[in-house]
Amino acid sequence: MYVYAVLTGAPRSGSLAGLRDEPLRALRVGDLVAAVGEMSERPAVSEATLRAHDVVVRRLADAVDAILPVRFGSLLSETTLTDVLRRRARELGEALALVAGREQMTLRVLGEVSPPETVAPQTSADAAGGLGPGARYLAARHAEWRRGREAPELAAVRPALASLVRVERVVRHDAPPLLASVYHLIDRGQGAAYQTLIERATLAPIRLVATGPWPPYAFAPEALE
Amino acid sequence: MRRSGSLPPSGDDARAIFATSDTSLLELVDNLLTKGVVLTGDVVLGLAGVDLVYARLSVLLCAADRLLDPRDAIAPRGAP
Repeated sequence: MYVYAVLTGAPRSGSLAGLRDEPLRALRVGDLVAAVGEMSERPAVSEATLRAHDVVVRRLADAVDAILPVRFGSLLSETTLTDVLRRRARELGEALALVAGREQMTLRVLGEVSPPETVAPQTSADAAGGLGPGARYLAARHAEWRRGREAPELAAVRPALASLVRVERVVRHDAPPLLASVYHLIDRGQGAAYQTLIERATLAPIRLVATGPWPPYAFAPEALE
Repeated sequence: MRRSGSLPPSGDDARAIFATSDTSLLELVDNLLTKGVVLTGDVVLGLAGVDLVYARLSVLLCAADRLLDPRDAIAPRGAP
């Protein structure tokens, strides 16, 4: 069966159809519900099938409070799906609680790459507050990890965003002019307010492009792996 | 895929194309397939021209299709 999403309950709308117009079924496993369609082979990746998949997920999202979209192309047997949902029930439940009543905005941060920070090799112990080489290495790795999940370019717009953004996830890119993708969870219905805020933001030379609202694609764990 | 031969887009080009309907396919690919991994330099360089967006996304969709196919995962095809 082809899996579209994991939900907390059956969709409010009675009869929803999948990307091949197959009827959708709610497979309940404990507190979770998987929205599935009968399909014998995985649909090929194409613009049409991606759009069709997205339409199905959006309809499901409209019919439930909390949805974790499942990655395109997830074709599993009922036994495997049931096993996975049982095994990952706690993690998926937490993710569903996070996205309940919310939707995603995607923010692309565009601009010139700032010169990389020069990290001088530290050869003496006192250069790093007396840390030994192992601790310095770990501290540097931690700083690198943190930088990879931050978007300092948004600093000026953060006070205004604070009233709308509930959760943030940042992915930095080594692909100028795209510097970072920032995924925000906002309360449902706040997409227009978010867009207005971003359009009014003046962060030159940084530019922001917002799309959405989307189902919370970027906040769904790889549910079926 | 060769990157150095492409003209890097100006910020305005990229912004313009991110703001057009071409964006939605790019966003769909990001949302539905690999969650960020697809936004590689090749795709973004492609944003310098609308046609290139489609050309490169097509390549990308084909690659994704192969990745999703377990038969190809066992016997990967050679790079073009």
